Amino acid sequence: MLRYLLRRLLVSIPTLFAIIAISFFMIRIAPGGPFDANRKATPEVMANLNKAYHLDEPLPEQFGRYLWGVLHLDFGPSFKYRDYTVSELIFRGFPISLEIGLWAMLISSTIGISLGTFAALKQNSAWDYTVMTIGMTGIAIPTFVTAPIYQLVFGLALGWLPVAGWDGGWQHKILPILALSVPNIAAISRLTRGSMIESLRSNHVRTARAKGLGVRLTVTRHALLGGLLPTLAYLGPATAGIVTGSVVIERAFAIPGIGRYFVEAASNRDYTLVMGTVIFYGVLIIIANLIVDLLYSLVDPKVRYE
Amino acid sequence: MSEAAFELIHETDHGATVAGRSKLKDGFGRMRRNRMAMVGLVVLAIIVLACAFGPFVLPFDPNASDFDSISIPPAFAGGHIFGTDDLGRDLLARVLEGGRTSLLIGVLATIVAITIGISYGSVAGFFGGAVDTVMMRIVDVLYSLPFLFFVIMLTMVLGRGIESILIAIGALLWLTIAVIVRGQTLSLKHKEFIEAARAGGMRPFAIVRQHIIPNTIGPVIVYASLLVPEVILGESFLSYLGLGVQEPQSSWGTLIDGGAQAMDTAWWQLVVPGLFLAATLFSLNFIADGLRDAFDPKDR
Repeated sequence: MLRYLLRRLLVSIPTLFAIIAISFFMIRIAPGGPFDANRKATPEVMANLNKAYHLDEPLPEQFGRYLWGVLHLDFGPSFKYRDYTVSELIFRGFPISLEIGLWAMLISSTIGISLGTFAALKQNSAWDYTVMTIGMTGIAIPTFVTAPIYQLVFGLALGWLPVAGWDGGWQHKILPILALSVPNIAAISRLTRGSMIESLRSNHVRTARAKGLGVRLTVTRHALLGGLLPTLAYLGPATAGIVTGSVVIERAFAIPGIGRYFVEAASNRDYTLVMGTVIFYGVLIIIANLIVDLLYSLVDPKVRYE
Repeated sequence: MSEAAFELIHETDHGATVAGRSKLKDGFGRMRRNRMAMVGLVVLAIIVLACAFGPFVLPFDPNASDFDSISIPPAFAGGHIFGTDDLGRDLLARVLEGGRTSLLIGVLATIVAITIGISYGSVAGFFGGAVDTVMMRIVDVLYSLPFLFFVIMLTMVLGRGIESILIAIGALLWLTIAVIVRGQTLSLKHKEFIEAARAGGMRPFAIVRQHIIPNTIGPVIVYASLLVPEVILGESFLSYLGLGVQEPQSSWGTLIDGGAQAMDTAWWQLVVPGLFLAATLFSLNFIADGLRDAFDPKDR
């Protein structure tokens, strides 16, 4: 187990390096320098600025410096928010994004697994079709359409919840979490249904029923474990989906999380902030995949990582 | 010999030719019986035709402001079926114009992705060994990158606009195709006809081009049908964030973004482009499901 963990960590290093390198060099060939927007400065001032930010050094040296900084969680200063470093902005936004993301993850897996199991138990019934149709709808309608519709219905028409904004209160969290959860509920329930149907047909489940075990116990003790493996494997990609979704949600609901900093940075050409957030997201997704793989190896006795 | 087989031979003997059933025909036959896929095909055809020809037929220019009819709700009277936006532009005309952009990007970026994916995958699979290992290792690394974030970075490099979105999405979405094609190539390359081509002195790249690639097309088409909605979604995502298609050009993403900002006074500005996008994605997903069921022997 420990060996597997170490090997997995080792394998993530090239990926991480690739993320950093691609971000760094891509941003470097992007047009426009960080000081272009300023008033025309004299060549001496520009030279001094470039020197202060080490932009006059050869590229490999700059990359080494950046890499070294990233290892210390130092992504350099933000070009747009002059008083902040990129790390400060990321760690100011992250708790908020994380809170919404974790809630969405929790809610979508609980509801998704329940709905999927339910549909599998009642396969080909009206309930099954209802759940699957909702699932298809949830997947096909993107969050940037649903989020404004929730705002319109629950915020403006019914007036139950605030339309947008963030003050840390629970009222402001409901709609963003809802909007972020629905596509994942849809995906997870479809996935769970498929694998549960297969699991319910397997020999050990039939044996359990044959020896007189009730439906409920058979499902919870025997069918569910096998049926949930594909769902568990999906949680890795689901994290990536929630990260991407949070970018939309944070813009739609005006939430000051990382996603919003990222979008603002991308439209302001705040290169260091863009690089910092992309690398941060990359690390997040790598960690999520690692956790999912470890859980998978714990749950599935067939998986041997030797 | 069974009786049925005997009869079959007997019948053929009588001059009636037995029509061969091609894999393709079989597949489309199964596809035709899939009701959801056919509904999807019809809806998609309507949307595509409307986007292609609608702008010529409609009496409204998508970019012409009419200050006498600002933010009119949808109504058949007056000709603005889907209403107008806050500059008095006809929403139907704008949605069809935007649809052209979205659909065009969807198809073109998919073609870019398929081209890269097929070339990459077939070369990796055919040459094998160290070439294969290195090429697939690169794919593994790229796979774990957050795709849309790199698209956004790439558009920062290339500048915003339709062309750069095309290149950015196409350049990052070929990975799965490459993996599929590589797998196909691996199973193909030891077949007799490849051996024969080799023995006949054909050059490796010519074999890949003339014998390997044509035989991997089937699964590629199925997967490509899944790629198109993904591309359209990605493009709308970027445009919604203001990082994709830029004014004065429009796509469904930019229209949804504009609609979301105007929704408290004019809900139709959000709902109409949203419905068009959702209907397109729905249809494409059903068609892709149908194609996969019809052509993928594993799932039958």
